[in-house]
Amino acid sequence: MKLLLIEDEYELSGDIFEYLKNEGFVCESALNYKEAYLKIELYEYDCIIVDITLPDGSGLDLIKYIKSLAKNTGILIISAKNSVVDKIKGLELGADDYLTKPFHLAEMNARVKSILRRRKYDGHDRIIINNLLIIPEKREVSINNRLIDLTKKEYDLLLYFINNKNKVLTKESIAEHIWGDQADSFDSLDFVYSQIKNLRKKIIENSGKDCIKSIYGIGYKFEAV
Amino acid sequence: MKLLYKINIQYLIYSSIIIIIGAGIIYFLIRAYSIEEAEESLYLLKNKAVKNIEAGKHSDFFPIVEIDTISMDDAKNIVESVTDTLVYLKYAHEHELFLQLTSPYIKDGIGYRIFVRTTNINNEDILFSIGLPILSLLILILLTSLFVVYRINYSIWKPFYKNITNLKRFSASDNKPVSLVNYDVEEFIDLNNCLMELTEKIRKDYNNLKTFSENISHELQTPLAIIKTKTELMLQDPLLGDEKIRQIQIINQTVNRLSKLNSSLILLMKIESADFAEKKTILLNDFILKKIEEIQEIADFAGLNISSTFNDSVSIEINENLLDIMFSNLFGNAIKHNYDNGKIEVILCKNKFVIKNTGKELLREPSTYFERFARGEFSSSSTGLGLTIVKQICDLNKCSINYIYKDKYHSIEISFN
Repeated sequence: MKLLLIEDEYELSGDIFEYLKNEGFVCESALNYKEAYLKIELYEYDCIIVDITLPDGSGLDLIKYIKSLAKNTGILIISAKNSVVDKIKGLELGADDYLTKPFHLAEMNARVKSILRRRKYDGHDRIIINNLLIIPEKREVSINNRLIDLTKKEYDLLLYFINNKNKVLTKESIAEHIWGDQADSFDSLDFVYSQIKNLRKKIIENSGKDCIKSIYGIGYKFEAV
Repeated sequence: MKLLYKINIQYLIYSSIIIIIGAGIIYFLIRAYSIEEAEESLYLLKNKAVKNIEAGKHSDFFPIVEIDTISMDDAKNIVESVTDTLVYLKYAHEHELFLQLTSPYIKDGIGYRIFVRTTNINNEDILFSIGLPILSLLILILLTSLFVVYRINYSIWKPFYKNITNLKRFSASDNKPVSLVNYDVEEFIDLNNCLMELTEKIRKDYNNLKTFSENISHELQTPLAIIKTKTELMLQDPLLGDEKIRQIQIINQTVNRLSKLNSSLILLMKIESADFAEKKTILLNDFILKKIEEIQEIADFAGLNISSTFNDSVSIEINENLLDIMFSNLFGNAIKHNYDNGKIEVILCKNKFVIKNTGKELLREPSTYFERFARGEFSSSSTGLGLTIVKQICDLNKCSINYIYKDKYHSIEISFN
């Protein structure tokens, strides 16, 4: 999968680039509007990550341009402003999702994968990992052809792990992914611990492999073979 | 005291005083004049009577002229004077008041006492036949001019009152200048210009400050993002020692705290802005039930029991996002600052919403928790802005909010307008 990252902050761009490359994407980056415009004009991408506050232009205009080329390109907006107005405008222009800085890299990764899934496979894809079979469009998880019963949050949790397999996920990023803005309105970290415990239990009980490892002091990691 | 009322009262008082004084003066003038005239006519009549006596004619004409013959000595003792006297009139069978001139006359050794009388225009007659019409006329003039003055004042001051109303509605965060009605009175035009200048300066300063704060907050987001991503990448290193992991994790958590704080501050500033301008009519009963459903899992995990009582069906007009933020904060606090196996109670009535939760006693006066950064027990994990945000949302929607700690329950009550 080919991605274009349009972000003017050099360090941030570098970090995101590295993370995405590790995930197996082919990445390109642009540091400003002009560079981005040229790249969009010349090449095709599966997903474009756009920062809307660029030094020499607006990311929203880039989105308009991308859409005008009638491409089935996924668009993820990243922005320092959590502006409802910008969000609506962006989504109306055809962006798929909106993420506010600062965000967890794992969260961004999950969103990109989700966009790609929707656009490339129309949601008809299958994920096979270790001995788990996941059908995202039906939110079904089965092990050895047997369906396991997961709550909505447990499913979201599992998918988050799988999207970020072999990466260390902090407890905070997990809590924020599952609970969103509400994550800080209660003591979510204990709760995350308990939910992961339940998830692991369900997988093990259904003769799945226990791939969720806890990393001392930080969080968890899903180990995929 | 209201301006027009004050003007009119003053006008009424002074006019009344002048009218009373004026009426009094007129009364006495008329009376004096009529007495003078009466006396003059008496003297004329007396002279006529005297001439008649000299001519040897009798001019007795009771009760107008009465001539008695008396001794010369008596006549010399009479002093000519004008008096009021009651005369009994046989034909009318009653006493009548007359103005009487008593004069002595001596001729040919015979003394005469001449009474010349005229009907007294007494005080009451003056009062009623002349005084009253004049007084009525004066009062009519007073009322008419009162009315005219009132109308004139009203039309002069009307734009002034309109402008007061407009100024009351003015707020520093308005995005239009205050609208002031124009006058053609120079002093008011002056006032208008001053007020316009003043309010525009307030608006401009407020906007600048707001933009400045917003810009600072936004500028903070990107550096925070950089720290966050770098620390997350560092944590991926499998060769990190435990101590390093701990340190990096603390950096990570602190950055999270900073960015949550920043987000909350940005939200606080944005509450009055266009982002949350759209209002909808929302049925609170359904909204609250949905919220409870959302947090049920967490509450169960914390061993908390949530009970809800809906006494009425309540709808309010409010921005949906703000309402969501408000309830998230309220329920979040109720969960966070609770005991194991504690309780949360929610009550909804026609004009208020109450959320109660069991929890530890407060260290300070409850109302202080609405101020920024006033934290309770969970000091490092909370931004200290939760209740401040709730209060802002309430203020924006003209609802009042109250926080008390009673019978071991924290109780927050929101009253709708």
